[in-house]
Amino acid sequence: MDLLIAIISVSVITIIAESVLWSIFRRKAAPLSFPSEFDTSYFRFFEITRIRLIMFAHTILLLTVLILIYVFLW
Amino acid sequence: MVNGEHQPSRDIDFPGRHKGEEFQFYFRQHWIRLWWPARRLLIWTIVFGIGIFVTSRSFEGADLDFVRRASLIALSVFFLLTQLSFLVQLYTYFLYVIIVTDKKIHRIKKTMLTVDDHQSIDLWTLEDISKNQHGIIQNMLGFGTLVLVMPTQDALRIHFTPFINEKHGIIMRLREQARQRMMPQQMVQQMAQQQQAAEQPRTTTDL
Repeated sequence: MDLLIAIISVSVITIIAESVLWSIFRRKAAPLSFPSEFDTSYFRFFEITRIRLIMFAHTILLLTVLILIYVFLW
Repeated sequence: MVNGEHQPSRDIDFPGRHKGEEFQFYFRQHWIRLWWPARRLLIWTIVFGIGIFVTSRSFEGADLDFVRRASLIALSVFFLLTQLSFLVQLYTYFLYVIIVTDKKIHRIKKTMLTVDDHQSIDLWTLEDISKNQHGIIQNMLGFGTLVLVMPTQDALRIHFTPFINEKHGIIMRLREQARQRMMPQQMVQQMAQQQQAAEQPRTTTDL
């Protein structure tokens, strides 16, 4: 039971933190998203939709690492 | 178009845009800007790994359950904070944009919570445009500092400018074009000022 509570708590905290950061970023970055043909940065890969995918991948990675650690070492 | 090539519309809106400004290009700082945060993240992740390893070896057995669990919670909070701190730095990197139009250079710099700066410079007023590339890494990776010197204010330094040689050339060319466009208007203003200056002594002597 303790393990379940710990996993749920850490998952909720992670998801909330990631969502809050993403919502702040999205609000600030929305006026700064321009067509990629005018982008002369080194990497043109990073657009808002792609950064969102990175955010999802990061969240899943964090949850996986933390859940695995809790499951095996609790 | 004569050559039939697709030409994207330059009528793009952005914060602080003036009427009739045509978008030329924009850029973010070189990716090397993220090197230090990434290195810090790597070091903290290794520390976290060592912490987990030590916890799993040192606190075995039912009598040490409480200590092990408390250590795990502390380590996971530490891991979360380091990851989120890196994420904030990554997001902040994307919130720093330089926009170059046919008339101005806009530097938009935001952070997640505290900073929201916008600085605009008229291209035609720029006294000097220079670039600095110091060291092997800057020359190898093609980035450096773009220095925009204005007559009335301190110089604006844009650090970690990627492909700096090309950008330096393009901005120089855009400045010349902007100056040519501004020239007739400027001449009119100069003439008006000269006229005023010529009339000024007469009125004062009349008094």
